[in-house]
Amino acid sequence: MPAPHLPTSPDDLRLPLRDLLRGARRTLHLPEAALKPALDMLPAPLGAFLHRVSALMPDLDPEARPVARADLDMVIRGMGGDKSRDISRAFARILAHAMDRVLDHTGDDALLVSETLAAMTFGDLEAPDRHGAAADLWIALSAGHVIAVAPGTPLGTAPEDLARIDAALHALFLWLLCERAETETAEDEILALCAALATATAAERAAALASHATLSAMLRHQSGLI
Amino acid sequence: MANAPLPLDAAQPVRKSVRRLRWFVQTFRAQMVQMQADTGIAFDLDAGKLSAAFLDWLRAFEAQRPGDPADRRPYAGFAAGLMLRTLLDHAPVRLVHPEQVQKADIPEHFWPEGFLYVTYCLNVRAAVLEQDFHEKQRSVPELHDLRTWWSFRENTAEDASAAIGFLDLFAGETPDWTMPGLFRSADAQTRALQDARSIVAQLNRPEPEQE
Repeated sequence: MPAPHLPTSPDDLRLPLRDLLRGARRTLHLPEAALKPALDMLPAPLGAFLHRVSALMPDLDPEARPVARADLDMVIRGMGGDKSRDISRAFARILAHAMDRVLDHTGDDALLVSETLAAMTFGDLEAPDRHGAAADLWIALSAGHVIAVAPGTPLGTAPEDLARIDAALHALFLWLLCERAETETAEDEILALCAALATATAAERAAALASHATLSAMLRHQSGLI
Repeated sequence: MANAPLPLDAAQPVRKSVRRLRWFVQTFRAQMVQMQADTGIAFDLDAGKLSAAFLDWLRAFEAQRPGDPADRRPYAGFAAGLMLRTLLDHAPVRLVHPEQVQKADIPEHFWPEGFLYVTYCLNVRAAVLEQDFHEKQRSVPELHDLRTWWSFRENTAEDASAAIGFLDLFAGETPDWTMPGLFRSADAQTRALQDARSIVAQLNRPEPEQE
C-alpha cells in the first residue's frame, strides 16, 4: 500500500484549510461581521491566530472581487502544457471563482468545491492541446467529484445536481478557451456570457459528453463563437 | 430611429464581429440603453434568451449562406431579416413597466420590444452595407407608419418568417412575401424571371389556325 500523503510544511495545509472554511461558510451562512464581536472577546494569542486564518477565508460574495488576471493567464498557459509551479493552485482558485459566479445553487443540497482536489486534478493534466486539456479536466473533475455535496465522493449528489455541475463546468471551459477580454471586470462579464451559452446549448452538451473527442470538438467550436 | 450601436471591435468588419456572441450581446445592450434614453421605456434583458437567439440566427445564417459572390449583397439584407425573426422568436427583452407605455400612436410605444429588435437589425444591416458595399441604407416612411406596424405585429404573430419581408420593407427594399424565409440567389431570381417571361410569352402567342 502506498504511503499516505502527509503535509510536510504549513504551506501544504493552505488548500485543505480553504476547503474546510469554504464548506463552513457555505453551510453556516454566517457573515464575517456576525462573528467579529465574539472574536474580539477571545484571548489575544487565539485572536491573532484566527486573524491569520481569516486571511485564507474563501471569498463567497460573487460581487466582491473580479477574477485575478494573473491566475487566469497562468491557467491558460498550464492548459497549453506549461508545468510551472503554482499553476495547479491558480486553477483551483479560478475554478472556485467561476463556480461562485455560475454554479446554480438553487438545489436542495449545498454543492461544495474542493480546491485541494481541483489542484490535484490539474496537476495530473497531460494533453496535447488546450481543447483536449479542457475536455480532460472536465471529465476528471466530474469523475473525481471535485464539485459535490461531499467532495471526493458521489454521496448525496443527486442527478439534477450533476446537470447543474456540468452546466457550470461547460461555462468555465468555454471561458478559459475563448478570446481574452481587456479587463478583469470584463472577464467576469464574458464568464456570464459563457454561462448563458451553456444554458442555451444543454442538448448539445448532453450529446458531446459521450466522448472526449466530441467534448473537445464542441468546446473548440463554441469557444470560437464567444 | 435610435442611434446606431457602434462597432466595438474596430479591427474587424461588422459582418465578422456579428458572428461573435460578445459583440452581439454588447451591441444589442447598447441599442437597448440608447432606446431607453430616447423614449424613457425601460427594458429587462434575458442574456440566456439573447444567447439562444444568437445561436439560432447563426445556424440559420450558415444553413442558407450562398457560395456565389454575386449573392453577398442580397444575402446581407436577408441575414438581417433572419436576425429579426430569431429575436422575435426568442423575445429576449420584456418591459419593466408595461403600464407606463401609454401613447400607442407611435411605433416605439405601440410595440417597444418590436421597435428595439427592428432598429437593432436595421443598424447592423446598415453598418454591413456601408462597410462592405459602400451603400447607404435608405430611410423610409414605413418605419414610422403605425398601420405598417399593426400589420407587422399581426403577421409576425402568425408566422415569424414574415419578419424577413417586413425588415426589407423597413429598409426600403421590395419584400418577397411568397417565401420570405427562403433565400433566393441572384441566379435563381434571374431564372424565375426568365420562366415568368416565357410563360407570359406563351400566353400571348396567337393560337394556330385550325385547318
